[in-house]
Amino acid sequence: MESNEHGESVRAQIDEIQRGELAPWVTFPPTPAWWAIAFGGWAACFTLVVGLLDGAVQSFAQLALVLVLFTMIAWDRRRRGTYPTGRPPRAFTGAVVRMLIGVAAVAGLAWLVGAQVSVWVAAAIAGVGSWAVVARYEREYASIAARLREGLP
Amino acid sequence: MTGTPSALDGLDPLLVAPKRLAIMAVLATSTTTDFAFLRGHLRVSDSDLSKQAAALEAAGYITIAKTGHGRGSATAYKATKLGRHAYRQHRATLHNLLNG
Repeated sequence: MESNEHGESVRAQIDEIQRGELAPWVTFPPTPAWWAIAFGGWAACFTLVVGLLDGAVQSFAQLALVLVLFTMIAWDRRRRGTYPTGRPPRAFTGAVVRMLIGVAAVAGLAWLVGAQVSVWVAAAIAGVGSWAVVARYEREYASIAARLREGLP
Repeated sequence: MTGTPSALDGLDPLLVAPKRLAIMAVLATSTTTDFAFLRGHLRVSDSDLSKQAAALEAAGYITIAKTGHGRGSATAYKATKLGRHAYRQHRATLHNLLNG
């Protein structure tokens, strides 16, 4: 009897740990639609800065864009109330890998078009492509998070 | 009385309390977490969360940073190195106990 109660107490603590460790990954307010658009805009601007500017002006513009990116991340962090760290739960691996492949494909295509055709076309590809990749990732992430929340003890 | 080592030796008395354990579990997988998030996760009152967090802070397991005043104020919690170590040890002991 005592051993049974002891086992239940241990199980309850492990459930608490599972819920707590997962919470920063799966608990967040809905991501606004403009979030993916903002990333698209950022990618387009970055492509134009790299393709059209030179020297100190380019460096200054790149620094400004990096600061914009940090500001966006800080805003997201504040909005969520937490920010997960460490290895993501295994359920997210596929979504993260697809997103990284998508970003690499968009960057590669934009670079190729920028070098062969036009920087402006490359910027359009980077903008629309990043928008699509981020929007898809956000949808997929939210769906996995909802599934994980439902499966919590 | 020294006694023989027990499987329960690795359990941290401070973390046996479910609310404090839940706080440490959230902070172990986040950079920082704010008051509203923890309150929502634990489903406790403001005063209860403050009390549990103060106990963890007193043990050196977390840091509490307050910024701003009034409605714009924010409280952020972060696990310390000591707190992460204690949490990991407690967690490992629980898993060992469960797995026999």
